[in-house]
Parts: sequence; C-alpha cells; structure tokens
Amino acid sequence: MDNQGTNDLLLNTPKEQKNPTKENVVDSLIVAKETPFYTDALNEININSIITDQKPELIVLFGLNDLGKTTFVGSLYHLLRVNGEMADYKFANSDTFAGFERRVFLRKCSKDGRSNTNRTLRSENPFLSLHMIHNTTREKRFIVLSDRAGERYRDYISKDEELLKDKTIKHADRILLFVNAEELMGRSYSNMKDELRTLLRRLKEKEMLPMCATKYIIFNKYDKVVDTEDQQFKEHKQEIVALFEEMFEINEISQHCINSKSLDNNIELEEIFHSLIQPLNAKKVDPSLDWVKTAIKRNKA
Amino acid sequence: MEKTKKCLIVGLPSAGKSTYIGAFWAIEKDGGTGHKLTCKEYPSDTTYLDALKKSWLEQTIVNRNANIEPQEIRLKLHSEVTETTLDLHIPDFKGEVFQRILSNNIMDKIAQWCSETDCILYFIKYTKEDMLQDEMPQTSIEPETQTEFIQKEPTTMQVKDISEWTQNIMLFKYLHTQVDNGIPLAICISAWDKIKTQLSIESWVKTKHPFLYNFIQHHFTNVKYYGVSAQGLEYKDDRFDEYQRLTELKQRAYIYTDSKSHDITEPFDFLITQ
Repeated sequence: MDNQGTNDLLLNTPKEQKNPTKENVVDSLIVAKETPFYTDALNEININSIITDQKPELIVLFGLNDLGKTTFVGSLYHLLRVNGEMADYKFANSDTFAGFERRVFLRKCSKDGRSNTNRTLRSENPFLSLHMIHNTTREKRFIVLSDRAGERYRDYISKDEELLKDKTIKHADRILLFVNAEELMGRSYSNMKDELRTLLRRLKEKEMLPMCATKYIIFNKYDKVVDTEDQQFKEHKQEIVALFEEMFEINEISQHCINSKSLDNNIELEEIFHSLIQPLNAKKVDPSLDWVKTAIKRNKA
Repeated sequence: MEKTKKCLIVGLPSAGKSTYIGAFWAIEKDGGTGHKLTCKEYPSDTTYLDALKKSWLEQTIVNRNANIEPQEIRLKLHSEVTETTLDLHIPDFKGEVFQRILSNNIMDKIAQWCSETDCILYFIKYTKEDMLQDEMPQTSIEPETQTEFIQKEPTTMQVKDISEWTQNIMLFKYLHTQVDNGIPLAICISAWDKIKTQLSIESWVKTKHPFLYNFIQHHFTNVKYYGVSAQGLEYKDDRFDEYQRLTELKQRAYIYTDSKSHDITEPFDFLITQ
C-alpha cells in the first residue's frame, strides 16, 4: 500500500515521511510521548503518517471557543458507536479512537457543568479520522475531521505566526462555520460579530479561506433560543449569513439550526451528519427515477 | 504427531481469562469427557494451573499476585479426530498489562509474544450496557456545591473513562499491527449466562456491538465468536449447592455458538486446527 492519492495539501512533514511503512506508522502512534493514549487525536505531522489508498476528505470545524464543535464531534462518534453505520456507510476503523472518546468525555463534563473553560485545549491535537465502507458498493471513505480548540482561532485574530501555521483551513474540502445561535440575541452579539468578521477578514487577506470548499453554517445551541421568530434574532441571523457569504463570495451557503448536545430524535443533527458521511458530489439515485431502465430490463428478460 | 503452538490469551482486567483456564484444567485434566481435545500429559509444573482450578472448584475469586510477569502455562492437548498432539504454550498475562497498552505503555514481553504467537484467544467481559461516558447518569449539581464538584472531578480523561468496548477495539487495533490478518482469532464473550438471547453469538455481537463487529470484520479474516460461561455463577451466589452438583457433572462451564455445549475445549480446537 502507498499513500498516493492522499491529500498532499495536508502534508507539512519532511519528505522522508511520505512513504511510511506499517511499522514506523505504528511506532509514531505508539511511541509519541505527547499523546497519552494509544490512538489519540493526531497532530499536523502524524496525520500524514496514516496509510490509506484513499484520498482523505478534510472537514474543518471552524469557530471560536464554546460553540459546541467538540460536542458535535462527540455526538457524531456516539451515533456511529451505537449504530455501526451511517448514511449507507459502515464504520470500519479509526486512527483516533481515544481522541473521539476524549470528545465524548468532554461532552460529559460539559453536561455535568464541569467544563465551561476546560474544553478542547490549545495543546490538544485536532485531527480525528474515520474509515467508512459503503454497504453495497464497498467504496471506501477516509474522513479527517479537524476539531481545533476555539482558543486557537481566537489567537488567529491577533497573532500572524499562529494564523500562518494553520495548514488545514485553506485545504478544507468542507468547512463547518459554527455560530452560537443563543448569542444572536445576547448583549455580546455585536462583539461576537466583530470578532468573526476580523477573523474571516484576516484569513481572507492571507488567502487562507477555502473558497472552493463546501460550506455549511451551523447555528448551534438552537434549542436555547427563546423565540426564533423574534425580529431581532432573524435580522442578526441574516447578518451573520451575509457576512459569511460576503467573505466567501458566494450567494447561498446551506444553513443548519441544530443542538449538537441532544441525540434524542434529533433529525436536524442526524441530517447534517449524514451529509458529511456521504461523499461530495455524490449523486443520490432515487430508485423511482430508474423506472425506465427497470422496465427495459424486464422486457428483455 | 506432535506440534508446538503458541497461543496468546488476551483480555482487559476481569475479562475471564484465568477463570476459563481454571475451568479448563479442572474439567479436562483427567480426560474421559469425550470433548474435542483432551490433556494428554501433565505439564511438569502444575502449581499455577492447580491454584486456578482450586479457585474455580471452590467458587472463590482467583487470587492473582501483583507481579506483572506472565505465568507461563504449557498444555499438551490431544485431538482424537486428527490424531495429533499439540504442545500449547500460553502466557497468562494480567489484564492490567493489556490495559497499559492503551496508555502507550507496552511491556516488551507482550510485544514479543504478539510477534511470535500462532493464534489468539481473546476474552471480552460482558457488561450489561455498552455505555459511553456521557450516557452515564448525569450528576445533578446544586449551584452552591458546584465549585466543590469541579475540584473533586478531574476533567482529565483516564483509561477507565474510555468505554470498555472501545478499549477492546483499541486493543484489537494494536494486535492487528502486530500479527497477520489471517491469524486464527477466537473471541469469547464471558459471563454469557447473563445474556438472554435467541441469536447466535456472532449475530448477537453484530447486532449489539456493530462498532466492534465491523472493526473485526475489516481487520481479521479467520475469526470465530464464542459465548463462554466458565464460572456459571456470581461469587457468593446463593445457589452454591446447585453449582457444586453441576461441577461434579462437569456441566458448570459451557460454550455457546448457536447452541449450548459443555465442551469448553472448542475455542482451542478452532485455534489449533486452523
């Protein structure tokens, strides 16, 4: 096996690591002292050591701290754990089981009220991986999720050197733009919008916005919004959408109003998970549209 | 014809490895059971096996010492069907040694055994619920006691915070990096008597634990699942006398695949005849 077709844009490693053997990948995962658990989340270097014959699809969870990005990942993992599959794809493997479990653990801390500040930490590795296989076609999917600490994005607002180190945003295949829906009504709205604008503007100036990526605006914590029909709420929501559209120079970015914490019959959350597991540009074949071919086949038979 | 094979018995703490060995030795050492395998000769030193047997017969908890070095077991098993005798070499590592792998703390002897083993007998302790951390009952905190709670409950994850089934997948993942995909692998779900199902063991794992099942499907090609009820009781069970009677009949321990069998040599038979 080789790693041809892997997302070279992710590579930020010395050339000699481009063709790792099974043994040295294992070594790098096991021996790495900075990760306390086997199969913990990966950093910019060892994410490229993962051997696969699939081009990874990079999904970046973008947003400042306390927007529920980690909870979102924890919920995705939770559903995969329980069901073993999603959107016609079977779970086959992950290089980051412990990394996912840590997200679930933090979600638990958050639910218990233990973790308002101690969320995904700056120093924590951001990358999580999923290897999926289509139930019938056996097509393989290699998904890499970037769940970076919100504080790191905050650093990007003021620190060029931190901003320029980030190799992932620019090369995202999909980017999930997280917004705290509850904040749209709060006194902090104006401040939040300014910070977001500054962050996006700085990324754009450095040509680091993934203009070609598939974009999703995630209005998280939607359950905490008291009145979604409130005029001011609607206006603020629209302003945020307009800000993203202006920065990405695109007219219609899909919007998703979710509560990433709850898994009880949470259709909106499951819908977005399903769309992330489905490959990009996958044309869903509606069996009802295949009636002509079916009829021809029957006549031939 | 005599062959030598190495078998690595793997499992997290309390997965039932030593209980199974104790039951195996107690039931099979004297032969005459008509089971697929019989013990042809006694090993030169049976001290450890006898201690495990004694615990099993007396229905007491196996008293393990604190030494992390594995107890080496050798069994000569004879198959009447193939007319072969197998010198089976088994290290009985403590579950904690396997659990340490999850913290990147790998004992040299484990790595060596993984590279040399011919087959793997893997034990998973049946737990009623496969619970993730955030499915645990939510702790209600009164605002005034919240500060105290924060101090008591660390937000640093420990191995015990990783769900047990995921710990097992992580361990399988490690094993997969060390052994060939086609290595004979018998996966035993212990405490099977607590599971009420009409499904075969493999269907049960597939239905109840698809995450683990899928992982195994995609990484190991020579796998068989077994339900194992070696102890057959909870310690201090009030049906002590009934279990004593079953012990004498050699019917206390059993194996389940799609039906119940008292031949607890079946997993070994699968592993060594592959």
